[in-house]
Amino acid sequence: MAGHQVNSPMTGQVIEVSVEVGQSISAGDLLIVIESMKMENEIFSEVNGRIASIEVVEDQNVSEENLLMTIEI
Amino acid sequence: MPIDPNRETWKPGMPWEKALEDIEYITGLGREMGGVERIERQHSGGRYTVRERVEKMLDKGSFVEYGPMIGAAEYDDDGNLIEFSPGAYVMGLGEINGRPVAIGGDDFTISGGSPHNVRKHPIDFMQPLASQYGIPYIQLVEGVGHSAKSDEAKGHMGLPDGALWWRGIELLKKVPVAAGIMGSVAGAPAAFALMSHFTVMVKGQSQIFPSGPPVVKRAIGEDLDKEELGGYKMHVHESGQVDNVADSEEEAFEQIKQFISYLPNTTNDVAPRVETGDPPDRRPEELLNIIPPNRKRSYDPRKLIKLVVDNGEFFEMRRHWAGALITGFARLDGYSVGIIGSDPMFMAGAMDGWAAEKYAHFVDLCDAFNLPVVIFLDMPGFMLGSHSERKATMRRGVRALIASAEAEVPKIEFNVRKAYGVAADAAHSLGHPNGLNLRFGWPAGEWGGIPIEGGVAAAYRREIENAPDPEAHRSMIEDRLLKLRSPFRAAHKGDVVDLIDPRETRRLACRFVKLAQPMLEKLAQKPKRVVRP
Repeated sequence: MAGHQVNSPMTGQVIEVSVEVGQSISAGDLLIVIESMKMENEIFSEVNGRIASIEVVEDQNVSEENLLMTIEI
Repeated sequence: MPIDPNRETWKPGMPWEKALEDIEYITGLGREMGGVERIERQHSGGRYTVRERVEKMLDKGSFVEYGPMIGAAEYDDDGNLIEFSPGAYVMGLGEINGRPVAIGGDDFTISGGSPHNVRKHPIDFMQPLASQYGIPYIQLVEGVGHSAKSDEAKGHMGLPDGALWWRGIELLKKVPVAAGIMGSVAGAPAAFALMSHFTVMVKGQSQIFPSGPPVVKRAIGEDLDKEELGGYKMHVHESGQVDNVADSEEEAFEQIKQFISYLPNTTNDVAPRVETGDPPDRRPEELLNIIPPNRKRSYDPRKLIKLVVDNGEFFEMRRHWAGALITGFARLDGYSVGIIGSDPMFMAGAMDGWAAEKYAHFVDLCDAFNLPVVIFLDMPGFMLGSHSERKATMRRGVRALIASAEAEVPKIEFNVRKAYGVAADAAHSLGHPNGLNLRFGWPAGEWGGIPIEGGVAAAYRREIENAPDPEAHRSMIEDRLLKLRSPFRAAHKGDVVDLIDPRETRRLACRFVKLAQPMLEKLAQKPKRVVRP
C-alpha cells in the first residue's frame, strides 16, 4: 500500500472538498476546489485509489505545497 | 563479421576492383559498430543503436554518411589491415519529408560513447556543414563525456580553452538545432544536447545531469538513482531543463520531425507553407460558448487553440513545465505560427517566474525563426504571494516584457478573457511598434491595470474603513467599477481593433498570418541573436 500525497498547487482558500475519507476515486475525479487569483481551481486526482486522509476543511487558507489529502493506491 | 587478419589489403598499384572490394569490406566493419555483444546489450536495454536511430529518423535511403571509414586502423608490416574499430559517432546528411538535414549521434556500443582514441566529432563536420549549407541539425545524444581513464591514457588532466563550444553556439544563431537525449547523458555531451532549440527525452530511458549518481554520491553524499536524479520527472516536469518527453524512441523522433517541420531551414528564411486543406474561413461554432459565463470557472485552453488552428494540429513545447502558460507551434492557412496561450486551469493562468521564463524563451525562439505569434490571453496578472516572490517573479516578468519589446515578429492577440497588469503587458508589448501588432477582444474580455476586488480594497482603503458599514461601502464602490469593466468601454477607446464574435477568430488569424508574410521575408534578412535555452 502506497500513499499518494495531494499537495496544493497554489496558495489560496479551500472552497469545496469534493470527496470523503474512505471514498474510492479514479484518476481524473474532482478532489477539491481552491479559490486563488479569483479563480476556482479544480484539483483532479492523478491516480486511482481510496481517500486515506483529508488534511484541510472548507474555508481554510492553504499555502502552495501544503498537504491537502492522501490517497491510498 | 569480424576482421580477417589474413586478408590481403589493397595497396597502390593494385586494380580498382580490389579497392572497391576493400571500401565495401572496411565500411562493413564500421557498420558492425562495437560488435554483436554490445549491440545485443543496447537492444536488450530497449534501445536502438545509433545507426537504427538515424535510419528511423530519415526518409528511406536518403542517408549519406560522412566518415564511415574513420576509426582506429592498424596495419601489419606488409600493409595489410589487421585491426579496425570505428569512431564512436555516426553522422551524415539526410532528408526528412524531402527537406535536407544534418544528423549525427553517439555510438554507445563503442566505449560507452565516450571520446575514443579516434577523432570523430560533429564539431569537425556536421556543425560546419549545417551552418554553411543552412540546414537543420539533429543530434541524438547518448554519451557520458569526459572519462578519468582517458586522463590516465593521456598522462595529464588539462585545461581546455573553451573553443569547443563556439561552433555549436554559432550554429544556434543560424539553423534549427534539435536534440534527442537517448540515454544517460552527462558532462559535455549533456551540455551539447541542451545547446539546442528543442530537446526531447525518452521516459524511463533518458537521464541528463552534469554528473551521474557515483559522482554525486562522492561529492555531496546524496544517494539517488539516475532516474531520480536526472530522469523526465526531474527535468521535464520539475526543472524544465528538457522541453519534452516521449514514451518511446520512435515518438521522440516523431517530435523532432514535427518541431523541424514548423521552422525554416535557417534564421534567414521563412518557414515553408504547407497545404493543410483546412479552409481559412472555417467558423468553429464551439468557440462561441467555450468561455464559461461564470468568470471563476475554467475551460480547456488547448481545446480553444485546437479549434482555431489548421486541422486541430498543435505541437506543444514544454507542456509539463510552467503550466500557467502554453507554448507551441501550429499552422494557420498552411503558414507556420508560434502560439502562446494562458491555461486558466493551472494557477489560474497567472504568470509566475517560471511562466515568465517560458514566455521570454518562446518569444525569442519565434523571433529568431521569423514566426508570427498568435496569442490567446487570459491572464489575471502575476501570481501573487510568498511562493511566487521566491521565484523572482517580477524580475523574470520584466525579462518577458523585454523579450517582447525586442522581438520584431508580427503578432495577433486575442484577449479571450482576463488581461491584468504588467504580466499581461508582456503579451501586449510584443510586435514591432511600426509593424503588425493586432489586438482583438472577445465579449468575455475583462481588462485593466488591477482587478476590481483587490484594486478597490487598496485604493479606497481609508474611505471604506471610515464608512458606517465598511462592507456595504466596499460593495457599492465595486459595483460602480464593475460597469467600467465591460470590454465595450475599452473598444470605444480603441484599445482593440475590434470586439469580435469568437467564431471569427480563425478567419482573422489566418488573414493576419498571410498578410504578415512579406514582412517576415524582410525580418529574415536581419542578423539574429542566439536563443538561450
